[in-house]
Amino acid sequence: MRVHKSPIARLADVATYVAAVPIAAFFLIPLVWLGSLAVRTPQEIFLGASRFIPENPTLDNFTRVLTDSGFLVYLGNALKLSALGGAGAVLVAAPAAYAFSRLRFRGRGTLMTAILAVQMVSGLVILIPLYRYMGRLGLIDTHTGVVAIYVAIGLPISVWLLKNAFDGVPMVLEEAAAIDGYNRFETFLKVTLPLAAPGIASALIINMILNWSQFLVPFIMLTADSKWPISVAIYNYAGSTTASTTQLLAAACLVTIVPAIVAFLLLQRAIVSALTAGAVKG
Amino acid sequence: MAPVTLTQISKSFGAVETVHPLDLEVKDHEFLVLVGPSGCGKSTILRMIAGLETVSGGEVRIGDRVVNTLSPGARDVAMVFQNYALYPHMNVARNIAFGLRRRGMTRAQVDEAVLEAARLLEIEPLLGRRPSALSGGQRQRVAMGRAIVRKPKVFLFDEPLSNLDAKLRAQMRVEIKKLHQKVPTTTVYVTHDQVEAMTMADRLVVMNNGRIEQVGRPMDVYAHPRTRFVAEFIGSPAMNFWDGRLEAGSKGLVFVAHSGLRLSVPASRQVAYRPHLGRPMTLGLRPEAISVAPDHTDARDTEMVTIKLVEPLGVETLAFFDVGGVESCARLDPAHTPRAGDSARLTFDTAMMHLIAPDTGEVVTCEGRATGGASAPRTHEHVSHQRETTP
Repeated sequence: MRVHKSPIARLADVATYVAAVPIAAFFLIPLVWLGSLAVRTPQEIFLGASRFIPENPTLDNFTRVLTDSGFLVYLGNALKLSALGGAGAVLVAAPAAYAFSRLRFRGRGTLMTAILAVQMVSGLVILIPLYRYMGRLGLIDTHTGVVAIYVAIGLPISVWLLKNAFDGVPMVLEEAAAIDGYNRFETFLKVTLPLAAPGIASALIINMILNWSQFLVPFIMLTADSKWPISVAIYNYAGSTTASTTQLLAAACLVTIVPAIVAFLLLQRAIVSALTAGAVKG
Repeated sequence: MAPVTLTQISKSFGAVETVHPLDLEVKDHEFLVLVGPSGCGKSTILRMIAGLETVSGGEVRIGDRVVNTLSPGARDVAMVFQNYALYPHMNVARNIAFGLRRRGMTRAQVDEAVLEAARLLEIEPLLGRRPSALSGGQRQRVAMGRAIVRKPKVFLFDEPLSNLDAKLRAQMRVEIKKLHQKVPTTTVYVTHDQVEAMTMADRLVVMNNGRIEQVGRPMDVYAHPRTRFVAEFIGSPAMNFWDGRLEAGSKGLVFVAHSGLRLSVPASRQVAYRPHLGRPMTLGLRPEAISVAPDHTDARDTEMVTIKLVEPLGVETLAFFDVGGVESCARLDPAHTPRAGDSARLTFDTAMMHLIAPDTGEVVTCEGRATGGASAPRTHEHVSHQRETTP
């Protein structure tokens, strides 16, 4: 059935597009530009914006990037750091989130807000003390140190996301398990955790995506280039680049952001529902 | 199987006392129903027996053991929840077996017990399904299967039928009773539905505001309510109440309602009601105590009324009318029911009357006093309702 919209509703639609198109363009143009650069030959790089769609598009740049052993090492490092950092954050956040979800104690609300407030502290502010701290612990230039920082950075948002996931598991199921003879920890493992799995997975993915795009922490903490994740490697690559390697840099950048975009697109529904869980009555 | 004894148990949430100290004994094999409106504390009592709620004061005993500090699993009780509480990530068989695995039974023993329970509840074909693939009634059976398979000492039911439609509810009511006949485990059943309470209970406990109003066999509670609350809560449609006072007539005491309705007090209650002569009182009369008077005779205990609304229910018809501005209801024979708008002379069978002190809400007993306070419940277990004759 065709729905006839009122003139005001149509006007609102138009206004939405007028606002949305420039915003989308603002974020998409650099990506499209990157795409344009990544498929150019070295000669066409010099044409700049005058030839947006290259005459002889090529995938050679991608082939070169993906067959470069160094590049694969950086990708592997990035994957390792973001996966371990994400998993660590979820693992450490889970007991806290469970306590916030299930236990009633004084100052619960304040503590939840305080945890969220930590999220608002910029990494830059604490980077120097953090560096010295890691130095004391002997964790400079180690993946362990970077992962530990990722875990700490990911904790606040993970606690919130997991709390929402646990809130979604009806309390009565835990009560039923208690009557069936299971203690709280067993119930957590056998009932709460499996049922909160979609929310936990979303928290893990969100953390991994955030970690994947981390630059500052690994840039400061890691000096040996064999330990760099791709974000730092590209920066260093760009720092030494000449015009003749711009197309390779563009291809590398595209390859780098692809995993995060793919992960988000595949799990978009789960991620959005994890972020908005509890916002509306289900 | 074991009796459950509650001694002076109470429950407070902060400064709010939701269950005032009370005593209650559930006998071995008994089907006891806790009934009352929402927030009366009935579910809290059930949860205290289960161990899902701590006890603020008093003692919970299952069999010979005080279980106050025992975890729910150690109390050997099984519970059926209002919304079934089936584990959504497990199929029916695993749901039923979940409590057994914890007890160190072998796989073969577990399988056998699950099959036996499934056979008893006729859910064998459902064993491989997830709860999401079951209807409400099927889920309820599975929840019951999970309870009976453990052969616990006590079954606890927390409003298990309230999520079902009316037809299924009536069907499940019968099934739960049948199940109790086959497996006569001590049962505590919580409901706000007085029909469920009346039809299922061996004994029922009527609760209000965290206190026990009355304990007794369903028909005794129905016929001899101790308080206005019980009189009003038990029975559908509810009892009629008219305010007025007792006056001395030429042939003994007469209740005169504010509307002018005059009803004579039965001979057997004259002595008992005399101390209340002249005081404002409330008279309660169930709808079935009102019928159409034969041939418009202007006899005593009759009144001309205008029928406002008629609800034919098949086996009986409910007629609604005003008595002095108070909406009242009569349960009439469908063959002799006036139509809405008709005038009719109704006769009131005062042998079934209840005299209530409006200030305390207590029903005056046949011994003449308003019954004791709610904190000292007295059961009417051995009182049989006898129809008395008017003088």
